[in-house]
Amino acid sequence: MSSVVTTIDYSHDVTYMCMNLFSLIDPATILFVAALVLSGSALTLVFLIGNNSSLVRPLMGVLMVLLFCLFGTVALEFSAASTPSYILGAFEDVALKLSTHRWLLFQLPILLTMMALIVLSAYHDRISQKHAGMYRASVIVAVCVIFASLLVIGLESYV
Amino acid sequence: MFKRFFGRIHESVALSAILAASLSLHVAWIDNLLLIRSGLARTWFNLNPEIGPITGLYLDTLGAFFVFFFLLVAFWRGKDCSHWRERTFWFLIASIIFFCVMTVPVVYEFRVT
Repeated sequence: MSSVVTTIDYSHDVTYMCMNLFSLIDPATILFVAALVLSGSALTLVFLIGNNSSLVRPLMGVLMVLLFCLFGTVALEFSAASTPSYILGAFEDVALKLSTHRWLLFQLPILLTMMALIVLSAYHDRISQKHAGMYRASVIVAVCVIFASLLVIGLESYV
Repeated sequence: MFKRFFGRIHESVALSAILAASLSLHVAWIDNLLLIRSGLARTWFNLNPEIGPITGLYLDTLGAFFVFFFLLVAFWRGKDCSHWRERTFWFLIASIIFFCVMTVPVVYEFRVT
């Protein structure tokens, strides 16, 4: 009695291809990229709040979503962690050193986003007034640092 | 209640947020230094062994932010704090620079011996 073994090629199946594509996508990476894009849009908006106070509300919205994205990235990364994320001096390579640095640096955008949100919610559209110059400068510095730190974290991930 | 809050400028709240963020950045780099140097701090901060001591570090930094924020709001409540504006802003800039320098591996790993 002979048995015939047939193999079915699923590689052209759309469902199979979609499943393969979804397996490549990392939710934490998507949230991080979203945070980077949102910080870029916040950077554009923050330079305009001095002239146009009606932009404060959209800026607050962008910062709120950015904060959720940052917390989401941390939560997803930590929930999927199989090895300690923070190496603590037991590293030998540059990549591991940068991993520790990346996790330390991640605190900077979280803290500064919360700070900028509180300052904007306290001043609202009066942030464009003359007496609020220092607070406006603080928010501008905070958003610039958030964008720069997210860019550095993103670049370090490639090393 | 919210209408009443947003109707006025609460300078003390904004100032407290800036100072709390600056102080929390200092807490973060000092905690990291403690984690590197002290085994006791490392075990104390290691809330989840799978993730590592970063759980304690993040919780401590966030906790410091909220504790400093509420303490400073209570301290400045109803007071004129306009003369603190410039000093607080420059303290924030200094704190960001200090945090960036102190979290570079070459700097926090430095030992004389």
